[in-house]
Amino acid sequence: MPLPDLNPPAASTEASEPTPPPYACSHCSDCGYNNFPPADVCPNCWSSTPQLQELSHEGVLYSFSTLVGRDSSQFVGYVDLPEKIRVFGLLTTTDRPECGTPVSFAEARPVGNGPCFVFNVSTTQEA
Amino acid sequence: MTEPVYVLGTGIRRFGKYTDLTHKQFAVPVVLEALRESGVSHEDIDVAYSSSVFGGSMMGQQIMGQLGLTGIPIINVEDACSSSALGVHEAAARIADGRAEAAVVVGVDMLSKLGRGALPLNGEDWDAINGLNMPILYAMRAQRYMHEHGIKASDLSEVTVKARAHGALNPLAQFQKPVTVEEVDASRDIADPFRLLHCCPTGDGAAAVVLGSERIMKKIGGNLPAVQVAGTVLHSGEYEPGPYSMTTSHVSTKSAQDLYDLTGISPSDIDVAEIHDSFAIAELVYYEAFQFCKPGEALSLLRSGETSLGGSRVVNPSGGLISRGHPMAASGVAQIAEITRQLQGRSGAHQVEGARVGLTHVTGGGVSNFEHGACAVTMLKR
Repeated sequence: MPLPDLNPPAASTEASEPTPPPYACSHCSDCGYNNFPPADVCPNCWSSTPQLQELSHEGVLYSFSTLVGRDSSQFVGYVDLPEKIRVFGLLTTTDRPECGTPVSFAEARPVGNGPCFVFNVSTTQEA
Repeated sequence: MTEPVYVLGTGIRRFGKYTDLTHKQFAVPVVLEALRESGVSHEDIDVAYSSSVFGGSMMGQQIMGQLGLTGIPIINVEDACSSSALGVHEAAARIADGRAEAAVVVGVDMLSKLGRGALPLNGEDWDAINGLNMPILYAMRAQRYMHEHGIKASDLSEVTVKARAHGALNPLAQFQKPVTVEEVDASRDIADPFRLLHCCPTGDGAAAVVLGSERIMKKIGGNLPAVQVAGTVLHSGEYEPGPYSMTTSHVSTKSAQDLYDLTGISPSDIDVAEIHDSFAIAELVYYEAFQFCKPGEALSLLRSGETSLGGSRVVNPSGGLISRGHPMAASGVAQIAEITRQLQGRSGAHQVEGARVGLTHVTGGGVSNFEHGACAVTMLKR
């Protein structure tokens, strides 16, 4: 999995970008606030110098549903990450997952065709 | 509020699909109904509020021009599903502050013009870009609620059964056919755990109310029982990119508590409520937000019959968004028209007998990192 480009000083994400968005939040070095999707201004302290920070690859599935297509459906869900960030992603499992299950980041896809971030679902269930 | 505010007139048209009409054509008769019912004249109306999420710009001017209500402030307001309740919130404040004697508020949307399927969210929003829509959002809410409280998907179907049973008694409801749990469970998949009949329909609708001061109410001297706007509360959701509970609605809980504090009316005083049941799980979550029951006990409350017609605190006697329909900007003011008529005892087969106090609740959602973009609640009393 290619690491996201962490070089740009600011982190706006455009819908028209052909490349996958960075798997990252914006981190405010002034107040420590993490924001997702990354943004150029910190909503907590109004600092205009947040930097991209890669998100943890391990998270927990908060909840899930399905993205129903014409011929098939895929599981999707909200993943909570240690950076106090929640991201919406596609789940690779074909079995109905459970809330609270550990998940791991698999890949980032270009915008425009459903969820950009893809997660593998652990077979180990948490309470 | 410093000066009492009253609902002087109501107008509402059966929600459904009216593909041959424009928004203006659809809304004008509804506003006219509210104006005629109120007894006000052109000169009495000081301000107009209009909401339409998908109708295009300056819908208020489009509608009010047909009724000669021009030269006054015509204020177009948008907050997704909360839009027209926001209009009532602002109009009531203007009258309470003495800056107007009477106001007309209208909401109209014609969703059938958008085709089938989930409504489009703001195309620049991250969630929308990623394919997240309102059915999936509420479905995740449902999954989490089921996980935390041990209920099943088919339990959600009981919300729809109640909504459809109420709608069957309301001639203004989009759906007037009762359904069974089995029929709900057999409808097509939308977003796990939701089936089609767990979801409110898309459709066309318009509703209007005329609000006025006590002075103008006494001047007109209408025949209908006076219904007072006891209080209104509007909140936006909090921006929260991190984990938050989807089973406890922060913005609705806060709005409900603020409404109770503002009016001195407690949950046990409520006879009838129209709340935002856009999807079946929502009604259960909002029972808890309005303190009609403790967290996790919403299904038991539903099954008790207390919130059904004939119960002591009836929720969504109109059929709610699931059965009456949910043409976004029309819903807030439609709820207020519904509760006003309930408190006046003129709701026919779906009348809540003896209702004296009622509330309405709409949330506007669909923005990344907001549990809901907005929440508007209104307390009415006779």
